[in-house]
Amino acid sequence: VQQEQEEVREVKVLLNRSKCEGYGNCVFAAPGIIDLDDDGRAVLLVDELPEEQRGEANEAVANCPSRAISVEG
Amino acid sequence: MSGTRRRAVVVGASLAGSRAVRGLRDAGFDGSVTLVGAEPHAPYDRPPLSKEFLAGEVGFDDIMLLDAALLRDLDVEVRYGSPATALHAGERTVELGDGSRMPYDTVVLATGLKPLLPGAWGAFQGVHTIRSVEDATAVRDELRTAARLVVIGAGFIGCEVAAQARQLAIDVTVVDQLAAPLLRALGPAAATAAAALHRDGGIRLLMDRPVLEFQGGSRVERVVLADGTALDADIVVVGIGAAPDTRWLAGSGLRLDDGIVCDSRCAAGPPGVYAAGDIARWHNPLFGESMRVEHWTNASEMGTAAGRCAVLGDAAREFASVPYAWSDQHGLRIEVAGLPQPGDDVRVIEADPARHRLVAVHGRAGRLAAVVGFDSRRTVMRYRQMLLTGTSMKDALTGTDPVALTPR
Repeated sequence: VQQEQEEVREVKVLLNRSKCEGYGNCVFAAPGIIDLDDDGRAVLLVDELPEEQRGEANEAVANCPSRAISVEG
Repeated sequence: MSGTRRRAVVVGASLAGSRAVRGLRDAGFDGSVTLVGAEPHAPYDRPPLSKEFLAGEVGFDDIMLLDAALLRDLDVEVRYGSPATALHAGERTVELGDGSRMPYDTVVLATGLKPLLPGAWGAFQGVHTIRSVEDATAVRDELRTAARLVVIGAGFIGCEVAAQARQLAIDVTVVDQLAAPLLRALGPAAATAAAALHRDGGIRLLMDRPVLEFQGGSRVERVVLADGTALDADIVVVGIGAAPDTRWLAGSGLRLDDGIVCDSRCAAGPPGVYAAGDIARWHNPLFGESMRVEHWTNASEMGTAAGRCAVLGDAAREFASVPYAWSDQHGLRIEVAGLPQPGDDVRVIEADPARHRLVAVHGRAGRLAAVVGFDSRRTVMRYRQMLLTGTSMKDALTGTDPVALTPR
């Protein structure tokens, strides 16, 4: 039961690349989770995060002017 | 009071306030949260108001920040249409326009800016500032039938409105008392490039010219400049800046000095009082100086930080941030990171005048202080990272070729 709860608490980050306009705020909010590629568009470095990184993921969501990032779980 | 639910109040229902309610919950605040705002509707994003919203490409639903479902998720109560009229820090209440007093254990102040508009100008119909969605709606509607727009003030909003109006084939003149557009925000090198951008975009720029007066009947018909130039106008947009909306805080005991003065954790002094966004002047530990920033990214980042600090107090991390802003004009992305200041050591490291591309790096006291880029996202990003870690101007310029700007 303990293990099941931990699985449920994993955080999934979703990125809609077609909405990304390359502001780069996400890179500062969630370094190590999101970066910009050579075209200056955001790319996910990881998409599943432990619960401790939920705050960083939430900040990336909040600070994206084009609303391209969301968090599930 | 043990056993009673703790109460958080966020005053100001725009971007910073929206983020503050989120920051409170993310930091684990499980008491009641109330968001109070003067405007009669839900918070919304302001950057589109002088861009896509003016063009009719997006409407209110597209720019709304907190919808009912999100408010339910966050368990936030809202009181829109309720301007705050006083802060009683001693008794820990916020007074609202209807005379009621809301008690708080902690409060985040985020009431933003009020646009500047001289009374003699505002007396004419057809003269607008753009701060609220109602302002932008009025300008959008009038631009549909206008033939001549005069913009007073070549800052971000003025330049964006001008560029947008050109898309509608309106005759546009921009007037400013400074020597070039965006001079204060971007510094001299980028301002020169901005002037070329707007002239090539078909905008008449009248720089270095103060306004004498507006003329007309009940509606504005003409703008007269100090040098005698008379400009016929169907509509005038005034973008000469905005001031922190702190009048309601007079007598509150808060330290007010071009904004609410805060420490590095957004704390304004009295117990439980925090501030965020355009209205907050805080000590930015990254630059070691006091700053007030009027940009979207700062309101978003600082709103979250203030909510977190309101819960965690001294255990919260300091709000350390590289100010960042963008603007879209004539299809070109303008970006600035850091705060350019007069007297900076400005070096242009990339320039392609034919395509209006440019990167200018600002140094101050030997340190990298700011970067400005026109359609140069990768380079701006690299310098923005350097600003975060702290970099000498010498290191910042390593490997770059100084570019001589050709006068146009």
